[in-house]
Amino acid sequence: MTTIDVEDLRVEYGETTALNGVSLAVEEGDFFTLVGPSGCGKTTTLRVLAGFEAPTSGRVLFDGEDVRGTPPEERGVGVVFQNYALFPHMSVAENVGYGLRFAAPPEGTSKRVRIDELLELVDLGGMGERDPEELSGGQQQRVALARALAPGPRLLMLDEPMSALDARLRERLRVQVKELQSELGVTTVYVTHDQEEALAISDQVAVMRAGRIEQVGTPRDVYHYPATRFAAEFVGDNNLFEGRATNGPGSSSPSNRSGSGEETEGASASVAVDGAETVFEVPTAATASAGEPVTFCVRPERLRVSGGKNRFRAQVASTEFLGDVTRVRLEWNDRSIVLRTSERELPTGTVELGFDPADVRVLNGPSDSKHDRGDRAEEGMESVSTRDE
Amino acid sequence: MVVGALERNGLVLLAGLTSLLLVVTFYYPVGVVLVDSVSAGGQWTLATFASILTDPFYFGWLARAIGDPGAFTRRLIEAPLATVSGSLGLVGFTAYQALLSTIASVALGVPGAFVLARFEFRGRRTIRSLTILPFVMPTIMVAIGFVSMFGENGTLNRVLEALGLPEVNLMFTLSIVVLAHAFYDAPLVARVTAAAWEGVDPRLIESARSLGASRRRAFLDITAPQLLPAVLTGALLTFVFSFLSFAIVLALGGFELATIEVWIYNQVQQLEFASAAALATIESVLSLALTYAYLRYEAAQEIARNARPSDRIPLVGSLTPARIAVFGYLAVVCVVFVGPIASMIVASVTGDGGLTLANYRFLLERQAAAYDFQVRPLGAIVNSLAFAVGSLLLSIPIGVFLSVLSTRQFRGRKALDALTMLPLAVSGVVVGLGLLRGLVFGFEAFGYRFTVTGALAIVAAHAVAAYPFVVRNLTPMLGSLDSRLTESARSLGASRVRALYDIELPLVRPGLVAGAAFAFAISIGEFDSTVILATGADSYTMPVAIERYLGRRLGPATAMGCVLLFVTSVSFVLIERFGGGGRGL
Repeated sequence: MTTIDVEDLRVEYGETTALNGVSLAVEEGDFFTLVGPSGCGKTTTLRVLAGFEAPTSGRVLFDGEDVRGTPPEERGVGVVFQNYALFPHMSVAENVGYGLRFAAPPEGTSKRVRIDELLELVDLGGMGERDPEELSGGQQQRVALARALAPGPRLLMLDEPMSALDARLRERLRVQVKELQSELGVTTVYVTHDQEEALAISDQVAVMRAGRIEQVGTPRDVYHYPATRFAAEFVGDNNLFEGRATNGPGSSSPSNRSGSGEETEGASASVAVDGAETVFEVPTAATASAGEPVTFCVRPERLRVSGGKNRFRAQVASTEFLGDVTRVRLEWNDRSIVLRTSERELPTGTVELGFDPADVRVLNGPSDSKHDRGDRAEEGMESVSTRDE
Repeated sequence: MVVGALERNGLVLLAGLTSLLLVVTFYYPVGVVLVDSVSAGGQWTLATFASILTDPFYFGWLARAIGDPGAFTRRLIEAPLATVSGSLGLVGFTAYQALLSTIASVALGVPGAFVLARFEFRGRRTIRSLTILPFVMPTIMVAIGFVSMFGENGTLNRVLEALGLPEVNLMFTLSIVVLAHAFYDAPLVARVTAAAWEGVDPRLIESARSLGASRRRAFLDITAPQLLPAVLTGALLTFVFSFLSFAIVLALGGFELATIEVWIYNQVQQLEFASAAALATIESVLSLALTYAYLRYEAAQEIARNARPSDRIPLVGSLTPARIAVFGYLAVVCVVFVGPIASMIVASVTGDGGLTLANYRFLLERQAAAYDFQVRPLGAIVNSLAFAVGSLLLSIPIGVFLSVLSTRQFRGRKALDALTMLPLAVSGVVVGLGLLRGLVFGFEAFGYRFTVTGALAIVAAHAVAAYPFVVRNLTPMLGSLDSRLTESARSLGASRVRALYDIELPLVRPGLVAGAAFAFAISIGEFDSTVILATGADSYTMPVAIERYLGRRLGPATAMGCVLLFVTSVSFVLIERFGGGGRGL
């Protein structure tokens, strides 16, 4: 099995920069996902790894060995594309067996046996003589997966393999892909724009934007501790608050109704949210001096109706029934707030919402000043914003 | 790395070979014509040009304007009408007949598009496919067909006679030339226009109707503007083809109705190479400008793709005015399109005493008894096939290589595209003249004198005429290939060359077959350059043989025409079966 190290990768096409210094480390046997909006460079990264594109600068190492100049056919990377790219003039079995024309089947099995084995593995036993076009989208996707795995690649790469399938099938297949991957233990790089899919399937997630990596971590880390504002908004719904510190850490704000009874671990700061006459208490790692800008976020499922330390009153604007939960959009000081709650506790009219400092993630401020980068100053954005999936 | 380097070098090697072939078979010969036109007795001179440009025989009243602009302008002011009237000259006439042919083709083609796009009937698809057939039909064969149909003893006069009506004599008139051009180009106009018609989104018309437009108004406001570019595309192409038409004009019009192309041939026959070269240069400049205009215009048009065309009207049903008009049109189609071909076939198997195979027997028997200067029919058939195979061997590698290049991005690609498509805009007679002057008469290189036989030169000329069709058929298929197929193959262990062999070539094979069939048909039917290069009876081809028989032995000519028709039809079936259905050229 193989590790991947990517060092300061840059890819430029004339004037445009597709990758602007990407560095990654993928552990042996990991399921590593690159997630981000279209044009963020995730597919380009995969194409460089597979050897279809040469980087302008930077290095790619497989097991510590630089693969620069190694053509795709010598990299041992199995690739599954979004449109599957099955060879239309070959049968399913011929597709799966194509890679075995160049590599002996492992462990001395015959080519035929290996093909049957792989078709069984992806639940397509007995389909070998069919033409690819006779199969459904989900079946074609599994043929592509079997084809990529047949020669026993050291790495598996999947470029949005599910995006052409309907939602239900996608969920079923991703479980299957994940199971197959952990069974085989093959190091896998997965590209998707679907953050939910990324969270569900991965060992490690890299959130990408504009040719850069915003954050790398386990799905839990990325969800609960987004490193940047972009990561906070891209992965899952979020409520963002921007404001300024009113005083130093440890003190509680006057408008904090629940008082300073429950002290949180570590330091905290009072933050006056821009455009609102409310001051919230948020945890900080370092001392915040008054007037310093602070951005923080609270997940919609962490907001509570009539509960929590920091409280504010908001007006219900709309509700979306999603089945297991209901998403409620509320207005607060001309901003939109999103709340996830069960149907039984559905608020109406004006409600009091609250959250505890423990559920706050500070993105930008005294605790996290390295993210206060000029290039993210997206002026004019709502200070509190939410994202649709 | 090693394989990659080999591939890159292989590409360079192929590029070198292709360039060499193109230079030898096209650019050098055409260059010789250019040099011929501006030199006399070893001296550079523009005298030949000057005498042509100021000769009313060539330029009509315009020649006076070119010769003495001052005097011409004065006369123009005094008596404008008298000054610009009179003979058009050879060049003017060429443009004039091309214009008439264009009008006729549009008049015949647009109703055809209407029928093909808006009506449903049995055999619609077949007829639609058949619209490409004229394009691969040998010109001289069509001329024979027109003689059989509209000639003095043709089908038309037999029918008129039977009806007790006076006979008409269309031979050697402008009408028959224009009609024959329409035979070629009206189907082209119909094809292009029908495609545009089917591309009109019915929802647009429905929107217009729901907004208050009448059916007629919706047609004028929505449909017509979308058809116009297609009609113009077809018309421009028709004009170019008719401007460069040779065999049709030679066989049906004769030297009395000579166009530039025919007159160049006449000058070559009289060994007046200087004026032939100068005329060839003038013609090539004009046709290049026209072709450029066409390509620019075509590139500016968007090709409408519509998943759901409007519902078609059944052709068979109660007699509405539209249906009556369609049946009237179909009668005209029968006379102009089916008539000549059917007449030729009938004429080939009839003689004085009814049905006979005498004409076909003649093709075989003449073989043994022919004098050296006479046409040996069987030899012509064998020559045609041999030249066609030879030109395939040249045109397919050139075409494949240029297609591969044109699907890639690199600097100077546009220039390369233009250079490789140039042969389309240079007439066959001019290429033939160049090959004759440059290769057959011999050239000196590295201190040696090289001469090329007429047969080899013919193969070269055919390859030049044919390879653009290989490119045209292959490029769209190569271009639409998903690059991820190749990438998948490579990530599975295939080298670049192996992936080409395993994945790309099998997938573009239909385009290759269609291109080859096109190339074969073009070579079999090629007349324009062949007639110049076929110096002796031993290098005559079927089309040349037909031309030699025409007039004296119509029977054998029609029989030979039928053999050509058969070979062309086989090519057509291959094109239809495998072709990607490219439009235009």
